[in-house]
Amino acid sequence: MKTLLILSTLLIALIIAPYNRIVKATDSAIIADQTDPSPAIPELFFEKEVSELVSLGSIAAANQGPYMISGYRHRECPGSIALLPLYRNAEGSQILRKLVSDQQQAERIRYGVLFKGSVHRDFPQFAFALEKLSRGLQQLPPGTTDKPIKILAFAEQGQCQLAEKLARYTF
Amino acid sequence: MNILIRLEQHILPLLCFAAALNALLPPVIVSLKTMDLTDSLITGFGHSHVIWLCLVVAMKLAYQTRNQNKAIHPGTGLQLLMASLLLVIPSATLSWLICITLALFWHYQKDSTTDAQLAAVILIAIAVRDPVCQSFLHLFAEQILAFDAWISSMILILINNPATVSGNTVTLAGGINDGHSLLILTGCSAFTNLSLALLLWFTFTLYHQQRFLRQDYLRAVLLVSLILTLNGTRLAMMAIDESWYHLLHEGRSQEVLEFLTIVIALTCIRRSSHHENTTDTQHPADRVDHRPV
Repeated sequence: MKTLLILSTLLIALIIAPYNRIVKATDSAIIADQTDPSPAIPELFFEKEVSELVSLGSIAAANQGPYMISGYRHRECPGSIALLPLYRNAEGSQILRKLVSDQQQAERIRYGVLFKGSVHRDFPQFAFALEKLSRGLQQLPPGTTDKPIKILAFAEQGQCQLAEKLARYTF
Repeated sequence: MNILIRLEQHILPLLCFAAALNALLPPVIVSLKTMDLTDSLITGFGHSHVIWLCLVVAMKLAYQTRNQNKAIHPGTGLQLLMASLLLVIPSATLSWLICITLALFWHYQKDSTTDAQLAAVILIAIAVRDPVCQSFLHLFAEQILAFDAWISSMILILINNPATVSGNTVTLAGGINDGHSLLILTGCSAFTNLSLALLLWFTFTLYHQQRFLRQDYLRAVLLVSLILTLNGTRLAMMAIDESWYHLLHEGRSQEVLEFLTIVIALTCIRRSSHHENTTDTQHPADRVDHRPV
């Protein structure tokens, strides 16, 4: 009985568990995630989803890395918004403050982060870490795929409240 | 039958190392799939070489442990079976947590030798580092990266290149390269290098002298200062212009930085006392330090 117990413990720990890890690791989604994270919200998503918005195009936030800034303007209301999907943590949350600034209009540009349907002034580090943990637990069963968390940094100009309109897409 | 008895006696260390290797496995597979063997070796199979070095030290200590483990109790056997069943869940964090639990069990096991206890402590340090780093980089990324940016700006001031810092962005003030800003991301933070250097220092200090002296903590402070300076200098140089950025960010620069981190960590380890000086059977309470501190 004890022999069986030892052999099954070793069989599981030394063969079945590593095999399971290898199967999960060879999953193409995980390999892709290691090299280039796919955006949670693709380019031109808001132009297709929100009829009042017109795309102003996209630019890379830096000469390397995954960060892309997309711009939108409202069709009727005089206002525009720059959106930047974030990934790992708060590392990209300061990019828009640096890139989208105008000395003359600095007071009229509003910065923040859209996450779980809400507008945050700063990157919600604790809530984001909890969400990451929760997603991590949900992805434990075999066959589940990695769904990126929708979190966007924004810089908005004008009084159209575009950030509030777009927040619901981050659920 | 002999093999079975030996397996039973060594089941706990075996499971500890299996849990650690299970946690490390996916990046190894990704590395082997995306690179050739030489590149995989140079890049440490998706992990820092420090992790492998520390694991080798823990394995060496476990290997030289005298066979004092008694046969396991059936209740303990069931607990170990449960732990191995949990390893089937493909999660690195869970594997590390299981490794910590098993290593604690190994450390506090009755009749556990000094070497076995040291191997268990080193395994716990290896296993704790990853989840702790991940948690800190999720919860305090803004603060950690802003600190990196501040250090690099201080170094830029020292070399007569004043820079402005905005969050985790460093921009050189004026000059011919006005407009070039350096965005410091998680991968370039000193935090990861610091955790690896401290892990290496912790492992080799324990391996050499089995305990920490007051001087060792001073060496740890020196190590932290040197690693912060090394990383801050690298970031400061990258902030100067794009040619420096490409030189220090691409190619084998990451491996060079890791090599320098290992050299600095090993330099900050006391080498006058050797592990071989103490016997395996010595009780921890008997190991009183008589050297001046």
